[in-house]
Amino acid sequence: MPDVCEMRDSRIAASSTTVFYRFNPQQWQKGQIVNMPAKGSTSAFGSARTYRGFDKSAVGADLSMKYLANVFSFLARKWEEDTRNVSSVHEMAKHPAYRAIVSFGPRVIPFIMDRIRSTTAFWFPALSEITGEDPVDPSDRGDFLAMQRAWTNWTIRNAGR
Amino acid sequence: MQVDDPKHFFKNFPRLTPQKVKVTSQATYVYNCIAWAAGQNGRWWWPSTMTFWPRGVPMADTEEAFIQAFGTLGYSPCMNPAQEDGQEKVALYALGGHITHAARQLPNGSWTSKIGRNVDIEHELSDLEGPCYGKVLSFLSRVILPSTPSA
Repeated sequence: MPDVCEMRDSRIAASSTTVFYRFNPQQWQKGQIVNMPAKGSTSAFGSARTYRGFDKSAVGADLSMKYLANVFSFLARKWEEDTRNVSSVHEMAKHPAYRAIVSFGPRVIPFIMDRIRSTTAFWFPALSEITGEDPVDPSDRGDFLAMQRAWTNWTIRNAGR
Repeated sequence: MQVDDPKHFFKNFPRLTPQKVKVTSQATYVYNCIAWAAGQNGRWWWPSTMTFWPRGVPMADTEEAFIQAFGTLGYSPCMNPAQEDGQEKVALYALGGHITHAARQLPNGSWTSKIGRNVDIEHELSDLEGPCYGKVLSFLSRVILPSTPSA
């Protein structure tokens, strides 16, 4: 894990300007990221100046998959640990690490699928939120293995798109 | 049997200790606390479009929605957690007005809970009160049925 990784704010990118934030896992672990952004903020993480651990670093560059993989791995572990004792899907989806992962957009889908195959966390809402789709048959909702199969088939069908 | 990730577990439930906690199953992701309390252990129950939720019940993590959900299984609100012959009870926990957890009373009068993706435990109601689940909010009961789940 590098000391500093960059992460993309897809909501900014969606407005045709790509903005990156420098991400420092050590600062996150120390609990210095404590506040979600104020309503109406232009960033998913608020102002970089007020949201320590993230520091606006570049505009117009692209995020390497290596960095993305590292950041995803860290955030995924953090989310999985923090929500292990939680039943509420709503609580899971509010976790800052989860929100950060969703903000990465479709590029993290392969990482999430790897995670679904290797862990037991409930990643399906993240996939649905990122893709805007829900391939799970309504009768299979809540059935982890059936949902895992449905999303695996979905990724096979949509590979390369 | 032991809890998964005890560091987080005992931080989430500060009233429990490694000596006090009584683990009754291995950790599993197949079902959650609501499913376990409802005696339906094949899937994750929660009021969302990604999980199982009884048809016609509002998809909200409110007390009213959970009362309606358990109502589909014959439960109705009751006044207290006292053990009563022929009755099975469920307790709802809430934090900040949002339901977080459900526990089911055992025939011996103690309570059983599935802890998220973690283990099942036997406990007292107050054991799970704290930063993760908040406080016990309300109680439901139903007449014990022949198919009622056991411990």
